[in-house]
Amino acid sequence: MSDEYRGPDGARRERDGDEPLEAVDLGALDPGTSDDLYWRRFHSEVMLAAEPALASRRASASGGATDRANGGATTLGAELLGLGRYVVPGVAVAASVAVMLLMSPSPDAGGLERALLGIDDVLMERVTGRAAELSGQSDSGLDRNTFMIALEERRR
Amino acid sequence: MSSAQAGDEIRERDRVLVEAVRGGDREAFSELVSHYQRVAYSVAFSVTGTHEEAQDAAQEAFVVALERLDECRQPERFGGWFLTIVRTRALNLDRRERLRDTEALPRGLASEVPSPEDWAERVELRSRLSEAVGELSNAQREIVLLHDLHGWKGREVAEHLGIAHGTVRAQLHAARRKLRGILREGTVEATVADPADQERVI
Repeated sequence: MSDEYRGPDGARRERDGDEPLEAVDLGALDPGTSDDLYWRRFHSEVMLAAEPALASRRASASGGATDRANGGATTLGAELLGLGRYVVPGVAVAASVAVMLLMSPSPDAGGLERALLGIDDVLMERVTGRAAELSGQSDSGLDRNTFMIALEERRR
Repeated sequence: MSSAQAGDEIRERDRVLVEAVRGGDREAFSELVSHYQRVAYSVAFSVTGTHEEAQDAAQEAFVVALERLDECRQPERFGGWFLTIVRTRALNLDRRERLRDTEALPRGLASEVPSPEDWAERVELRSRLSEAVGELSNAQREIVLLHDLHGWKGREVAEHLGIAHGTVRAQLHAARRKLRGILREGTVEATVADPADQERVI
């Protein structure tokens, strides 16, 4: 007697050897015995019903692969950490500049006034030089009244 | 090949298939369905006792398993995990419209129609067997269907049900004795087969 037999699924199986009693043939309970295409239909129906879930899994898998390929962050925490790489150094630089400005000596009022006057002188010198040219006089000895007369004449 | 080697191969096969299905591999899922559809039906039938409900429960269990596949912590143990879903599904089944719809099937899948005499005989035999199996306890029903209908070995049944091999053998013995007694009392003689003669290829 063979130690193996073929089960209903077609797979070869070993007998247990000392099986209790004889088995009752329950083959009639298998829908496939009275309907030769039953299991193909069963399979087709399961696959049809499973298609949305399979598609969802495929979409998730391809999305995850894209993220990994781009080196992108996939979680909120990772996104915040990535953003922090740029924000934190910027804040540190701004704070350093602010500290340096606070620590540096402020310009005194006299210095500022001198600076402003210096600018005014430069401007006036340029303008009076131009006025002297217009009035045909040299720049030396040109006073404010002469300058204003020269402007009036030019306007006329 | 020893039973231990066969078990290892099945576990490795299931592990590979489950990992692939997690990524949405349709072919891998198709293969899993092919491997487990008969046993799923048997387990569901052992709970519901009717063909229609067993069919519904088994088909729905595949979809539920697919949706919850990430909860299967041991892919190599997919079989046991899946049959738990089948059992639960069958127990909680709300009777719904049958999923079976022959019109939705691909062309060329129409079954060969048996003669009226053959059909009547099959229906009666199935009815008798269903009644007899229905007289068994839940555990005996599941064990005898897995073992005698699907040819699972005692160790496989024990592993999937999470019980001792000796318990499976004792329950199988009791189930067979009860079945033979019930069927002898009836007018329709059911075949009493030696597993060695089982050459059914479905």
